[in-house]
This record gives sequence, structure tokens and C-alpha cells, in this order.
Amino acid sequence: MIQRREFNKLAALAAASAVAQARAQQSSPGAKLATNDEITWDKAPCRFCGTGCHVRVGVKNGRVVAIEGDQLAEVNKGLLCVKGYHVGLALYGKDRLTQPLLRRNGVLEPISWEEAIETIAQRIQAAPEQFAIYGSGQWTIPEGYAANKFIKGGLSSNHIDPNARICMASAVTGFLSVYGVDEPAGCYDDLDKCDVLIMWGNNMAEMHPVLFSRVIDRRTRGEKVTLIDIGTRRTRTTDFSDHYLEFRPHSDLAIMNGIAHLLIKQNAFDAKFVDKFCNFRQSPKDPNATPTAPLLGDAMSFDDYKAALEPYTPEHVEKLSGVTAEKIRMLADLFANKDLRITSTWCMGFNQHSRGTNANRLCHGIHLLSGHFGRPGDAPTSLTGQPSACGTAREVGTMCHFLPGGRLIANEHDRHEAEKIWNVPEGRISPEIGHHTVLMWEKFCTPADKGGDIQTLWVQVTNPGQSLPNLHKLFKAKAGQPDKFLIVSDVYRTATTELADLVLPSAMWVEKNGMYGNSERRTQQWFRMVKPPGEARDDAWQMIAVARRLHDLGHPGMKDKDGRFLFSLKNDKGEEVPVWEWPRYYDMNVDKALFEEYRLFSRYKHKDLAPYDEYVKARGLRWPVVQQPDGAWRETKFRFSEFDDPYVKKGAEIQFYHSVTKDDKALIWFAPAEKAAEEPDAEFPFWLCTGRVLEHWHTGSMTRRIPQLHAAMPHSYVEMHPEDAREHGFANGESIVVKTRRGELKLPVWIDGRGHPPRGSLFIPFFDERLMCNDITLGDIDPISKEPDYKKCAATVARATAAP
Amino acid sequence: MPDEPKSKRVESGLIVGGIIALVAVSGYFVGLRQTNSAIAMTRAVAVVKHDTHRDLTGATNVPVAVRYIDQDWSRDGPNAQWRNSLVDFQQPAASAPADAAPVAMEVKLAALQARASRRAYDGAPPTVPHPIMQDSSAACLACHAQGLQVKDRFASKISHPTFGGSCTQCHVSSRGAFSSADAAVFAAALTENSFQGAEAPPNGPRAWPGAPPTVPHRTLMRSDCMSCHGPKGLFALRTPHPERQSCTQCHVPAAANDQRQFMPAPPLDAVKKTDTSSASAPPANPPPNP
Amino acid sequence: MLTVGLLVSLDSPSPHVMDRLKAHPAMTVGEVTDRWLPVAVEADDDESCREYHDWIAAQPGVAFIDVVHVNFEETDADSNPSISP
Repeated sequence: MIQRREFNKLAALAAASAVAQARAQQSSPGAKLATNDEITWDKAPCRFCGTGCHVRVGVKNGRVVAIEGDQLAEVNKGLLCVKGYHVGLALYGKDRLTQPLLRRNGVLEPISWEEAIETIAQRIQAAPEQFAIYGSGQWTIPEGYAANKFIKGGLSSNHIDPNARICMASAVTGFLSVYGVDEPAGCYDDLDKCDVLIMWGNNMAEMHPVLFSRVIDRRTRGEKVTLIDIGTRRTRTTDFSDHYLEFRPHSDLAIMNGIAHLLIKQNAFDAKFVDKFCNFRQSPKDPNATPTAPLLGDAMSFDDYKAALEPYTPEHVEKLSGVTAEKIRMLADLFANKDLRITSTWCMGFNQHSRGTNANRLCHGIHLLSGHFGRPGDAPTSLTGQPSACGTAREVGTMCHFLPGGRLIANEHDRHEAEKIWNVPEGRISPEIGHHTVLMWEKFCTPADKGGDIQTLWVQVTNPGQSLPNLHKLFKAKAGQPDKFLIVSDVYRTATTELADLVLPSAMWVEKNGMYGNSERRTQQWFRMVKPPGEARDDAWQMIAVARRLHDLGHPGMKDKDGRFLFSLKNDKGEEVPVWEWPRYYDMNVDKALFEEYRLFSRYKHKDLAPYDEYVKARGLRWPVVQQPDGAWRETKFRFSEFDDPYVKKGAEIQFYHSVTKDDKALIWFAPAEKAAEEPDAEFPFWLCTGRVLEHWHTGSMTRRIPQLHAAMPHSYVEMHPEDAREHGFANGESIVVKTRRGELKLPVWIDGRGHPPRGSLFIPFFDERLMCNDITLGDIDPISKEPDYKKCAATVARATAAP
Repeated sequence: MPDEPKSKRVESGLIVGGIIALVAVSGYFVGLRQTNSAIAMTRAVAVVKHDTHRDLTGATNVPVAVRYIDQDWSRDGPNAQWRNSLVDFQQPAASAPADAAPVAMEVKLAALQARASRRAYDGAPPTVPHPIMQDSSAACLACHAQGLQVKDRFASKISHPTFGGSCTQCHVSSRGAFSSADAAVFAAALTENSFQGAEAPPNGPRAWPGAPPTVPHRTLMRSDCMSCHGPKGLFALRTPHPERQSCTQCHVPAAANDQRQFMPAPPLDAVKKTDTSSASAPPANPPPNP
Repeated sequence: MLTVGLLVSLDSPSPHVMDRLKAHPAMTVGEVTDRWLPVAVEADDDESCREYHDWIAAQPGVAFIDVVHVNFEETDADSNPSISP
């Protein structure tokens, strides 16, 4: 029995030793010190989210050594978030891709750039119509422009779509169907002026922290601003909010209808504003009548609108949404008060929504109905998640149905204009809309004999192997299909390179010249400051080099009307530079040449851009940037408002000059509250929501390589209500299994952690490559924007059985 | 006129109140010190005897113990253990390094090294060396608003009080978010990072021996000098004259760190041209044709 | 018989404290990690537990004690003290 006693003693000692070691593990991931000499500083927009903060980049001996918030930048006024402060470290993960890799016998082996470019060119030459490009809101503007011109103006194909489709396509269709033209009328200045900020399913404290601070720091200065958090779980944003309205997932449509109902019932809407500036619309009876039918809708009278809203009494909305009738009345009273300035912000809550377009429309609708529009501080503003989702995806039009500058593939006039600017023969641009994101990947993952008409797919600057929904169907099914060829240009190995046949090492951020466009229409520019590692090269160069190789192989599309190469670029002296030869690429500013060409597209929809050199001087300028009689270039903060927008007629007050109805009026839409595509049931009783965390940016391929960010948030988790956890007998930190109809995922449960989901609801962040929540998300898309819903599906939980 | 006596009354009232408060506070601390020494003595000398076999059957008014699972652990937060040693929370008098010999360069470099271990580069927001409350900035400010010393550990005072809202926006814990059973599986970093951050310069040049040293580092987000150089900063970095309040009266940025130089040559015209506060001129472009 | 696992936080890892703890017949001392010292204590009842606890707390250099493990198991050794080590 001595043994037993000895065992007890050892057990006690082991327990104490374990704690001692845990306590001792306080090591901070500090970086090694450099010597301190000359540091040169230059400006650049941050590489991460769509806020568009400017950073100052400190460079010494050809390496980035420091980052500072740029005090001259209006967006962030010297402040950054933890990702921004560490953005320089994203360049220096030790496993940067430094040479092209080709998969041979299942293994990625180094090859030369010549071989790589030749391989791509041969595949495209063999079947150009089966080639597609999957791009990104992280493409710089010139990169996206080059890709767009290459495939639409060169290959006569529209199979190009960016990851922005899975991020803000619903915001685009929202803007288009309300104002007739994309992107917010307001800007971040609204955040300085608003009395009330309503965040619709928008955890700004973590996702747009600098903008959030811009608001809450007003309180430090003694200003009063009321924050209203309308969400499906408590977050850090809730901590700062005056009101928290927790709604049943997908019932945001009901809440907004409830507000509109009360505004009309109480005769508290802005009749003058509505009469002068608005028409009413509803979903079309026949959405398939024309390609644009769902976007244009059917006209309805004010009386019809009123009648349609009739059922949405506060009590009925309470039943649908779980938000009390009293709180619905509070919101309506705020909107009824014209003395207040109200700004609404939203991001993925509205956009990644199987009724995302309608959610966007209704939010614009309550602002228009109440007249909370067009004055500083009165604005419905959509926030974006990527640094150039607006600039590259939306403005350059790197989508399957767009052409640059807000033009549409479906519109013959628009196509001919683009052909003119590109100097290509009439009819070069295909009138057929290409595959949108989800369809593109479905076609790529489907065998050719079963209708999968995409055989070669080139991915640049994004990680669809992790970020697409329902990955088993839309990405992993590619495995084992040798005739499908996946090309990936990236800076690190990712979930996407796992299945890549050809991997191209790219230059990133300040390793190349670049331009981004942020959420508030601000176009930004930066110069190359350091050299990329190894053989990594610019994404735009890769595209141009392939185009040149196709040109040499005799592809007719690579020549313009006059027989010149599509990308025959001239330097400032007017001399042509063979930029497709890498050593010559920086003999001229390719960005400037491409941008000046792209700029010709921008006037059509009054998204006027200034010459490149103006952006060199500024910390970004918000379009339309209009030249003044004295030659100066003036940006526009508040679109459609006479006091600021030079395109509004004198005396008009407000003019929606791209109005869908061609009468300078915006559209107030009615859309019914509907059920989600998949709702919890007996078998799968939980709502599952996915999203982001402060420390990691999207799929984490950069931030997970930054020691400080990794240490703060080393792995993903599932958030759960403590009562639910108790019922299942889960301890905090225990690994559990989350199951949906698409698959299952084992990961640690976090109870009473950073976010607090209500009972019957789960939350999983998507940054962790090892714990990919998109294996189990739904992937049902909004019928109009084709954007998937990542925020809602039915799930169940179970105790994990096997070891991790 | 009638205001004057009133304000005087208020003033004298304040003074009296202040004195009372002062006496009360010092009395409190004196008492605290006595209590502490009493505790120390008890620990060293006597062992308290406990009645371990009290029969509680039939007793009333016995509080029902809270079930372990019902304990609201989240309320205590990740730093709950601090409460276990409240006795340690006495605030030592600010040390006066003025009497001490000048700090040796090795000591200073060691202090800078300690500082650097929590920063990616000089000027980076420091990471937090302890677990944090995940959903409250108030928890951070409880200790860091004014700074706090507990034995040999210092909670530094916030150096940028005007940005006092969302602490976790910039400062993240180096100790992970929460402890999961599989933490070890996930702890491994994806890769090493070869970034080498700019170093904090050890000291700023002086115009002549005896001149006040210039500020060797940049000062953005470091507007409160006393955060690092005050009595709760690292010993080697403390000012020898904490009683003087206006630091920048004598200490100016070193030429190499003059932040005005970081502004690009002529931003002025860009600012002027984009200023929208003045009435907008009509566009040079043709008006829209709706 | 109680077996208790304690985590002793030291002001600094001093060999003096560790020697004193090692010399105590009821205590088994583990390996010190940084400034944390694991200690296993065997005690007859909770009264002597408290005495040991206070004794450790009174040692110079000891900053704090955490109780991380307690085992109340009765072993045969309790009824036969002659064979305890």
C-alpha cells in the first residue's frame, strides 16, 4: 500500500508541477533587436481590411522595420489597430513562397518562371473558353484592371469573378437597385457627425476597430453619441453600446419593416423628402423576364407600399425577431426625429445573407423614408472587409457581369465603350455573362463530361480553399480530377495551394507599387519600398507575361485593332518598355500607365478619378475627384447632396443623377420578412454563425504568421451559451464536435469568452486553417447578388470521442 | 457680487473637506500597515487552531455552499488570482532615483531589452503579458488608467489617455485567448517570422555635457512621458526629477526623430485642393445627363 | 491521510528556501520552474495541513501559495504508521 501512497504523492506533485510550468510560460514573442540607424519612411494604405488606414512604413537596409499610424491620413488620424501595427511582419514569415512550383506525381517541385508562364499560356491557348480567373478585393487596382482587360478584352470571356462576390456583392446590388449606381453616398465623416450610430449585425469594435474608435473617442472629447448594436450575439461592440437589440437570425428584414411601418402609421416619415426624391419598388412578379429584372423590380404606389407594411406591427415584429415592441418603437422614434443625425453601418451581417440584397435595400429604405440621408451624419453606409473590394472588385469591375467604371456586360452600349477605350475590334467583348464565384467553382469541381466547363482556373491574392462555403462541394471535389488545372498566385502556402497544380510566388504590399480603393470611395496609392523575396514577382506582371506569351503563340485576342499588344505600355517619355520581361518591369511605372488608361472609364458613372500623380501627393482621394477651374482636383465627400457634390444641379438639394427610374429619384423597396434557407430543427437545433476576430484577417494566411497575433489568438473555437454547455456537460475549453448536414468539425468550446451567443446559437471564426468552419457552412446564395450566406445554418453539437 | 461670498464658502468648505479626507486617508493607510504587520507576525509565530470536528447537524443559518459549477467564474476574469494576495496591494512610496547613482548603460540596455521583448519594434503597441478580460476595456483601465504597483510588478500607466476607448484594439494578450484542453495541439506557430524590428535608441544626444538630453525616440501615442519615465516605469528609465511636470519644456525630440520630417515635402497643396469646407466650384466636366 | 499539491511562488528562486522545504519530513519538493516550486505535502488531517501551509508561508522568500490538488484517499499506510518512510 506504500505504492498507493507514493502514487498519491506523485499525482499531487505532478499537478503542482504542471501549474508551475504553465505559469512560467509567459514568454512573449518578441522580435530580435536591430541596430538603430537611418530609417526611411514612406506612406502606404494598410494591407488588411477595407477601412483604408494609412500607415507609415519604416524601411532600413531593404527591410521593413517599423510601422506607424499616419497622422496626415483623414481615415485613421494616426491610429491603427493591432493588425495594422503588425502589418510589416506579414512579409517575413519564414515560409514565403520564393519560386514557382509545379505539381509532378503529386509533389510540388520548383520550376523556372519561363516554364511556369509557358505552362499557363499553353493551357489557355488550347481552350481559352474553359479558362477562368478567380480574383480578389486584395488585388491592387492596376492588377485587377490588367486581369480584367486580359480576359474580357483579350480572351473574349467573362469568366472572371473576385472573392468580393462572397463579401459584398449584396451591398453592390443594394446600391444599384436603390440609387442606380454602386457605392455609398456618405463617407467616414458621417461617423464624426452622427448623433446615433446603428450597427446592423456589425461587430465594429473587432472588425473595423479604427472606425469604431473614431466614434467612441468622441465620447472622450465630451460629445454625446448613442450607439445601438443590433446583433445576434453580444460582442465587444455591445460593451460600448447604449442599446443592445438581440434578434433572431434572419429577422433583420422584419425589424426594418417594423420601423417603416411605424414611421408611416405615425405619419412620422419625411413626406417632403419622399415626394421629391423617392419612388417605390418591390420584387418583380417575373424575375426571369430580363437579366436585370430582379435588380429593377416592379413599380408600386405609396399606398401599395403602405399596405404591404401593414402586417409589420411592433408586436408582430417582436414575434418574428425577438426584439421587444418597445425597442422597435424606440428605433422608429429615432428615425422620426429629424433633429438627430443617424448613421447606419453594416458589413457581413447584411451581405452574407440569403436575402442580402433585400436587407441592404430595406436599410437604405428606412433612411430615405425618414429623410435621414444626404446631410453629414445622416447616412446608410456599407463597410467592406478587403482593402480594395471597392477599388478593384467594384470600380474596376472584375466581376463576371461588369466592365470597368460601373458598366455592364449585358449593355451593348457599355461593351462598345469599353472596346473603344481598349482599342479592340467591336464585338471583342463577349455579351455573355460569365460564371459568378459559386458557379465558377462548381463548374471547376464538376467533371468535364458532367457539365463542368471550367478546366483551368487561376487564383490570385486569395484563399478560396478556406473561404468558400461548403468546401467539400465547391473546392475539395477538385482532388482526383487530373484534367482540372489549378493555378495559384500567393505569398504563402495555403489551403488553396494544397490542391494547386501550379503555384506562383507573388510580391506583396510594399514589395510592389500599388493602389487600393477603400469603403468610402477613397483611392490610395503607394510605391514599392522593399524587394520581394527570392523569385517572387508582381501579380500584374504574371498576367502581362502570360498575355505576351499568348501573343507570341499567335492568339489573336492579344492584339488590339492596330495589331499592337494589349499591354504595350509607354513610359513618361513615350517610349515603349517590354514590361513582360521581368528585369524591365520596373523600368517604368506600370501602375501609372495602367491607371491612366483605367481612368478613362471612370467618368461615365461619375466615379471620376484624378491623375495618378495626385494620388502620390495625397493620403487617398474620394471620387468623384473633379478638376476645378483653377486646375486643382477636388474630392467629394457627400454624393448626391448639392452642398458638396458638384454633379448635383443647382437648387436640386438632392439629386440621384443615376436614378434607375431616370427621374433623379431613389427607390424605396418593399421586401417581406422571410425564413432563412436552413433553420434549426429537432435534429440540428442550433443556429451556426461564422465570422472574424480582431487579431486575424480573414483566412489568417498572413496574420497567423505574425507571432504577436498568433500568440493572442492561437486557434479557432466555438462560442456557446453557458446553459447550453451545461446541458451537454461541456467544460470550458473542451473539444467538442459541431455537426451540420455538410459535415462535422471538432474544436474547443469557449464559454463566456469574447462573444456571448444567446441560447441555441453557436459562433465559429473562420481564420484557422486547421479548423475550417467552411467545411460545414451552407453556401446557399442570395438569388440577386449570388452571395452565399455564411451566417446562418442549422447545426448540432456532441461530445468528442476520439483523441484530437 | 453675491456670488463672491458663496464661492468663498465653497472654497473653504473644500479645504476643510480636503483636510478631513487627507486625515481619513492617511489614517486608513496607517491602519493598513498595522494590519499587515499583524498578519506577518501571526504567520511567523502562531498557528491558528481550527475546530475541525464541529457537528453542524440541525444547525440553522448555515449558508449553503455554492455549487462549483454555479460559481460565476467569468466575473473574476483571468486575473482573479490577484485577489488571493490582497495583502500585497500596498502601494510602496515612489522610489526617488534622484539619490541613486546615474544608471549604468548596461542596466539601461537591459531595461530597454525588457521593454523590447513585448514589442515587435520600437513604437509598436506592447502586447499584454497577462491574460485579459475578453469583453471589457474597463477591466484594463482598472489598473492601467493610473498605473499600479504590486510588489515588484508594475501595471504601467496608459501613455495616450486621449485614446482611452477600446484597449484591445491595439493591445492583445501574449497568453492566448483562453485555455483549451487541446491548447498544446494548436499552440505551435505556423512558422517562424524573420522580422527584425527597429530598436529603441538608448539615449538622445545632448547639445553639450550637462544640457538636458533630447528625446531619442518618436513620441506618437506616447504623449504622457510619465507612463514610462514616471515612478511606475522601469527603474532604469525613470526620471530623476519626477516633481517637474512639463517634460517638453527642456526635452525636445532629437533631430533624427523630429516627426515633422516624416511629413512628405509639400502636403499643403494637396490638403488645400481637397478641402471641401469651402463652397465647391462647378465641375469642369460636363453636367450629368440623367 | 491527505495528500496535497501546492504551488509555491517564490520572490526569487533561492536554494535556501528549497533546502528548508526539502528537509521537512512531510514534504516532497519538485523541480523549480522559473520562480514556481511544486510541493507535495502529506498530512494526517486538515489541521496539520493548515500548520504546514502556514509554515511554508512563513519561510522567507515565499511570496504566495496556491493549492492545486488535494487527495483525501484513506490508504492502509494510515493505519500502519510504522511502515511509512
